[in-house]
Amino acid sequence: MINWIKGLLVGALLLPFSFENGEDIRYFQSSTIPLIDSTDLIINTINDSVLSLDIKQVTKSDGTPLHYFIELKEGVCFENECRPLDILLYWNITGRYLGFELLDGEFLSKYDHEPFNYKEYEQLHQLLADPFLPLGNYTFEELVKRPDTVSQSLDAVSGATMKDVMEYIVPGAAYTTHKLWNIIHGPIQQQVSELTAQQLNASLFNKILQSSDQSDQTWALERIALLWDLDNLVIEVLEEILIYGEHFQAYLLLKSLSSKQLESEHLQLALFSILGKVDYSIENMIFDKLLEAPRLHGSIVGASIPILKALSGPQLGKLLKVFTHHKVKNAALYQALSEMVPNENSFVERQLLQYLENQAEIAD
Amino acid sequence: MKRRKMISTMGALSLGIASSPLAKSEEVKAPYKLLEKKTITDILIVGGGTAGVIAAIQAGRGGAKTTLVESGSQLGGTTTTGGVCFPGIFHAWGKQVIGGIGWELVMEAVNLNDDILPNFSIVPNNTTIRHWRHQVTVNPALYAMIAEEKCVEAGVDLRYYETPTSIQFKDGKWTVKTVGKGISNEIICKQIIDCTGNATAASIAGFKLLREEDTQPGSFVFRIGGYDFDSLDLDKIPKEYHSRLRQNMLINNEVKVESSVNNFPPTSPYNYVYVHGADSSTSELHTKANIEGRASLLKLLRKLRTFPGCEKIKLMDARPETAIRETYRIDGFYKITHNDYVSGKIFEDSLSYSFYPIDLHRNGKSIYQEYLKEDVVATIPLRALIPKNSQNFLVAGRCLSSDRLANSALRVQASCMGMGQAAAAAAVLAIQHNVTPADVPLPELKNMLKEHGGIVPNA
Repeated sequence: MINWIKGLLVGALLLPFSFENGEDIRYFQSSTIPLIDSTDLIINTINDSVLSLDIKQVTKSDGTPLHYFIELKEGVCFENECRPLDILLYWNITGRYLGFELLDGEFLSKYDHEPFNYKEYEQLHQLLADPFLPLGNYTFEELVKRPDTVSQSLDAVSGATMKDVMEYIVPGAAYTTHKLWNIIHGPIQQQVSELTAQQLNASLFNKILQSSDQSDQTWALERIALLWDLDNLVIEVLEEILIYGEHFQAYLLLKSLSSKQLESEHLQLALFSILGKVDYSIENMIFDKLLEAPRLHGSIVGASIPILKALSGPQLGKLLKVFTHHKVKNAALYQALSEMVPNENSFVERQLLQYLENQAEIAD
Repeated sequence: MKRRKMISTMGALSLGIASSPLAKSEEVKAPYKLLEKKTITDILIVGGGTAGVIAAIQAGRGGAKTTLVESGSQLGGTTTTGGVCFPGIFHAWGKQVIGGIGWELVMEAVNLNDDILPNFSIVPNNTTIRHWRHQVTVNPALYAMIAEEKCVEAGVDLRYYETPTSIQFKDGKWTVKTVGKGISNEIICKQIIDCTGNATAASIAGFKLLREEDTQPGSFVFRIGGYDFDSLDLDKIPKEYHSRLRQNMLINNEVKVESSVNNFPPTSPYNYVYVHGADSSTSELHTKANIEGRASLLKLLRKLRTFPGCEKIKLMDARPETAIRETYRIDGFYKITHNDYVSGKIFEDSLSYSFYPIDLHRNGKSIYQEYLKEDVVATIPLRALIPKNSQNFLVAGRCLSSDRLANSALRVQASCMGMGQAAAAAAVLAIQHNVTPADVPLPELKNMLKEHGGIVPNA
């Protein structure tokens, strides 16, 4: 058997398993945290209550999760002749599909037990890696018009496959494709994701954010609130995402920050300091997040005074709402705002006057 | 209580009510008299729909005295009254391409409804991930209220139930006569922005309009419930009804997606019947389109309820109006062509982006779609918003100057929002510089748009 090693990152990164006998088939994508030293690994078994399978979590000795896998054993039959399928399926720590392995001469076969060829393994790997395939919308019975009452464990019977999803299965292997895709993108995915989330710390968070995979970054950003404390390094990374990252990632980051995290003066100042460096809509979100902070630090008020005149009318309005919400009383601010009246823009002037009048009433 | 005593007590109570001050408040109404009003303003926005709302807010925030007349009862147009409450597309190829006031409103509606945004980092491939996955679901009632709040905050004088009947340009100013419930209004303004979608104001003002012989159908939007799609035996239901039933089941605003990882939120409740030849350019034609849409839906409902498993189908919601895709377009200083659109041509006066497939609903039976190539995003030049031979007059929305295929993509909501903001900024600066919008200094215009959150091509 040829040892095909494909994917963005070869299976050599999964060194806990010694696959040097030339009999194994392995297809892998890049994992968030690559393995370097195979001697520094621990495999924990987690019982899966949903599918009654053992999920193995592979970690470093320091507890850092690396990936998950299961061993799937299925009967694959054709014309009453069955052969067992034994395949290892891998998930990244963020829940995305990582790869599969067939050990010790095991191979995948089509409806007539003809072994997959190189291109078919490649195609299967690509299909399994695509979370958007419609395979989850159909049962196997819907996918294939079955000619008789053969067992569900039959692989790709020769009946017609639904035209719309034909391109999303390996020809002749509808059962294998459908089965594996649905396991990979099924409940185990959520389960392993939650297991990693339970172990999330600043160090792991930063590592996941450095992943080149967009979905890994999304996974991490959605879970910022799980971090007890945002240290300087994390805040620095977050700033970079806000300034240089994609719009959606910046949105997700801000959306996910918790009220408790926003209490940090360092974080408030970091967010405020990037005004003028990020998209307008992200700036608006920053003003909105400052509203959610339990309190506004005086340093933010001080930092805002020099930029008041540079803000657009709507953004000035947002900032004034932040000040009003946090009941800011600051003479220098009041003075700076007073100096902006009269204003050539009637919209801006109305907002200024409204704020100043409210302040005057509070002072009274 | 004895019967006699009870009757006696009731009598006393009745007498008490009859003699209360409340009973004396009735007055005879004065004979009907049309209330004649006069309004002097800087910028008049005609139409408070998808583009008009944004134009009004931008004009107000730009410091202009702004009046908006809307023939209906709320703001938002197609997004709200029409029920196409998933505006888009604001993002292309991993980047935001339309921002500004439209996005601000959408975000406020999303946040106030605890909705989540689609994952814009996942780029549609037009096979397993279709372009519409990037459209953003909003609660239409909420959107209408937020739009109204923002208008009021920007100082916009909102005038519902009014529509223009005559528009004349004299001595550098427009005189617009409108009628509404019991009111006749004469509005004197410096600039007009026609956001009617039908170029109604442009037509009244005497500018040339263009129209296809055969226009795309309108959609009457609704939502049905009371059945379980998964348990239906589709073999017993004619195939032509499957998509009606399935579409509605896919669309469930009760379902909230917890994660954006390789995921999108569900789209908004959306089901529709086509209304062929739907036209909203006159009250008579719009009435016809509404009646046909409702009749068509009733017929569909009655039919669906005859299918097994569908006996208890209920109409959960139907929008008040048939949403319109295509009527009239202006003949502008520049006509955006199909080739301009699909090649992403950038003009010197491009003020806003537009991103959508060419999307022509043909005869209500099929849709001609043509996707933009990777990294291509179309743009909208100022000249396409200005009718030929006009002064101090702009349009925003689907009636911009464009050929039919380009228009089939330009007409979508995010693009219309971008146009609304661009047109209003041009009108504000035209007043400040005492010039017609075509002569506004472009660098200043682009700068103003950017200051207000607009995303300006190559600026």
